[in-house]
Amino acid sequence: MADIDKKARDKTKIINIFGETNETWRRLKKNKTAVFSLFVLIILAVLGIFADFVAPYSYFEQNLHDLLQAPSRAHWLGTDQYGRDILSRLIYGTRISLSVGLIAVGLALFAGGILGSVAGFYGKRIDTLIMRFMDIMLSIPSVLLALAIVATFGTSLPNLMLATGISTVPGYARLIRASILSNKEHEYVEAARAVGAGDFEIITKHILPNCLAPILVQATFGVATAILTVAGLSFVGLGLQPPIAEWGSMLSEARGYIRDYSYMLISPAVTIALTVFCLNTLGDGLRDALDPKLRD
Amino acid sequence: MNQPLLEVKNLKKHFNTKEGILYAVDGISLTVDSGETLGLVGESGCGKSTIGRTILRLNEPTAGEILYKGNNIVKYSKKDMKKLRKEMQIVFQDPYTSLNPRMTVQQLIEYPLKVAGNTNTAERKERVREVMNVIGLEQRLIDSYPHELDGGRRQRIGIARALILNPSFIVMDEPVSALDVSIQAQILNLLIELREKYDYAYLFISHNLSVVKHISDKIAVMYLGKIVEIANYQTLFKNPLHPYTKALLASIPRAKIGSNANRNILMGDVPSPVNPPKGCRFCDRCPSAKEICFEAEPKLSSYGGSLAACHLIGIFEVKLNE
Amino acid sequence: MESNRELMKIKNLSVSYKSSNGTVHAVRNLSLTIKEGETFGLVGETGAGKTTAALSILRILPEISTESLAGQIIFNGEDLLKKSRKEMRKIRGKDIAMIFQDPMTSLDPVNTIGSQIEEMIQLHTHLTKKEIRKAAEQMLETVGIRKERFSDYPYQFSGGMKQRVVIAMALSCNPKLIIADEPTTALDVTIQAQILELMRGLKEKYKTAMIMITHDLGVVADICDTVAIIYAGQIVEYGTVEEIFYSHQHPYTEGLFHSIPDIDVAQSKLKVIEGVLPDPTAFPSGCSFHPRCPYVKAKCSQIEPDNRNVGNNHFVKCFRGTSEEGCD
Repeated sequence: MADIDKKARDKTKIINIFGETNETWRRLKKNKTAVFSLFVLIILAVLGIFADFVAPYSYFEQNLHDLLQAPSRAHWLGTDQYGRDILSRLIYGTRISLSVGLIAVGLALFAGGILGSVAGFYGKRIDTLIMRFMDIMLSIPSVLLALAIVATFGTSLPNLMLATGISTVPGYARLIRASILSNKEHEYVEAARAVGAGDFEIITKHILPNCLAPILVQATFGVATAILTVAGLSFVGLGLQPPIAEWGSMLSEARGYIRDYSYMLISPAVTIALTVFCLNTLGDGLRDALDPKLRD
Repeated sequence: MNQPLLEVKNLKKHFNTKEGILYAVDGISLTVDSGETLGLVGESGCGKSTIGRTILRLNEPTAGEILYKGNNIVKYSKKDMKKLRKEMQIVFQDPYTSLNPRMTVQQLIEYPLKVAGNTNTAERKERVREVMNVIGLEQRLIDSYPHELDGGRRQRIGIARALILNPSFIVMDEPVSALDVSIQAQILNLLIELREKYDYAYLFISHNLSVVKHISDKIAVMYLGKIVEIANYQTLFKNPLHPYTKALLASIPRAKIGSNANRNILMGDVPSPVNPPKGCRFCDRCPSAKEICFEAEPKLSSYGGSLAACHLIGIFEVKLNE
Repeated sequence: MESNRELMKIKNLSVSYKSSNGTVHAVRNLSLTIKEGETFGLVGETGAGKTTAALSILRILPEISTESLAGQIIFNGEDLLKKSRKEMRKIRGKDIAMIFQDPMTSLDPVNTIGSQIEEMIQLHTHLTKKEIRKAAEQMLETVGIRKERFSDYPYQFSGGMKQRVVIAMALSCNPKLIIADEPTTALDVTIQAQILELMRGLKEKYKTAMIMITHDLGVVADICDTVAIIYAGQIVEYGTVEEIFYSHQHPYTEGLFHSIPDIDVAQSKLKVIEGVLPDPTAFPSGCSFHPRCPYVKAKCSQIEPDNRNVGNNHFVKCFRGTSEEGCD
């Protein structure tokens, strides 16, 4: 009871590892795959942001002389059935995928965060109310829900973001609620209360910042899932409409040309797979880097 | 000013648990005068930590009154409590978990000022430096994080944070129990120094009787949610009245050879506050228990300068006179 | 007194760990001798290296982070540091048993306490099931637990009772040495008194030698025969309990005694040891205690003092009081 050195050291590790970005970075660096993934993702993001300057051609300009060209010096990844440069379309497609992924996750995190925080912090009836509502949401198949939203409200970019994000809200709500439940009993929260801090201040300034780790990991995986969902929606024609370049719709369009012009299919497929792989590996790496038990 | 700074009357705090109602604090009355230190001593389950928090309304009391400067603060609104927080503060036991790991020393110590509404950054920084000086924390650590510092320094941050609003009353919840022996001594000296300088009133909660004796003017002994004895710090040790107090004193291993043999060790386990015994709470472990102890709860009565709750004290006194 | 035969001799034990800040030298050139039946107190504060030293005896240091382990631990004529895993397994529990600090976590929550004691006996003896059961029940009674509670689970016991079970497990194979790592620190003071009384009684009965790791000098006075004070991974003072209590010489030992508020003496300011515990990755030069020592001289920061024999088998690692003391 009096001597808590070892327990205190362990507790310190658990609390502090989430507060120490340097330490986390150092541990992440040890994971070569995760670092490589991060590198690739950064490159993709840069390409997407500066697509206007980087892409060799525009994504919609048709070049009817150069239809269905195999990869060549002029067109590194070849051209599609309308003579559009595939590489350029992929680069512009990065914008869509990454932005939808990030914004969908961001919105879901915001909504789930508020719901989870309120449920976890205040408990009792409001907790039950919110979590049972989350359970209801979870019982609706996510793909179906996405399809329903897009089919009803149209295929604009905001609708896509809503469709991909909405079914992940309960997941984040649960996660944040659990984090809040475990962190709200910490003494430093009590200390803040003892000084007169209000509920909002306590949640936003003291509890949530210390819950970042699991949220960060989950969000990384969430972006990967969102990208797959958007690609999936586009593939069945419920995503962004042509001529907007999107990886999923590129896949869909390539379906009719698989036998003789397989490069049309391979490029977007590999890009999707690579991006999702990198996000997942990064997420795994983050989870390991943030896990206090794996500390040396 | 004859009015005590803090007066607690019949305070109760019960928790609802799966096993039943937990009578953590079950009818406690005590007073603390301005500048006085009341030590609160007891083992696990006695309710001493709960009472510290309940007095500051970090837990809502189930029943009873808490009079601060004569006003019953149990009914105070959140706004009024916020104002009161400037005067009533708390230092926590665990220097590792009571500090937000993401805040620097500066941010931790100035936090009460911020919450109280002080928006002047420079002024706050100045105050923090002042307090750090008083507390004995090196100025160069002002931008360090808690995990970079040792237990003793962290506890100083905790103390600095409690002092920055110039309170009159501070609850110290086992402030040195988590520290090494040599650091304990430093912090205890610091607390005594501060008290002498600024005239703070302390409610010093600890399970360590030697430490409590060193710093308190009066000591209250708690058992299973009740106070069993309150006495002046010297009287408690020279002339303990309650059988539990006597047992506690006997249990402490003395750092002297040979004084530890032939002690009257208290048998049995520390009971759970969920199902307290009927009658006197101590009856099932008391070596001198009589029938009345199992039936009726003794009241805190006055014997000379001390207060004790035991049916048998009168009897012994009679015996002495025979 | 008990027989004077040497049971264990630790020679120049050094243990270091890897950590994110560098190498932690947890134990540095530690040497001590334990006789049969003796209760040896190892006193120090956090990070002094006492638990590391204890874990090295049983070779249960965490493998991942241990960087080096050097020296000799001679037990029963053999060096434990040279033994294989298999050989160590035979020794653990049978010849040397350990009692850990926190009774809440040292018992397996999903097995009854009786079966845990039986497991211990079964691992090291060749008794029949019936005999094992009987032995286990007897152990329970010896530590003051009714044998009706044989099939109860750890959660049904209080902290003090759990610690009794742990002691029963440690004693069940009648080991020659028990290492007790702060066995009463996590317990309430009245329960602590009970457990110490129990341990004293068992010590008398079984004549087991014990290494008692603690930071509480009261516990040392209660139960130890010999005491070693550890600071910064080294033993700075070593002697019988009377020598240490009545004629301690090392400034750190003196500081420790002064840091404890004496319950029988009137209130006054405590004479504290200034400064903080040293950084285990970067110890001060010369004598590790010199930055905090009230008697420090120039020599202390340059040369590490030897273990000086001040008579009566009392050793002190300090220059004070000798002709070599300093620039005087």
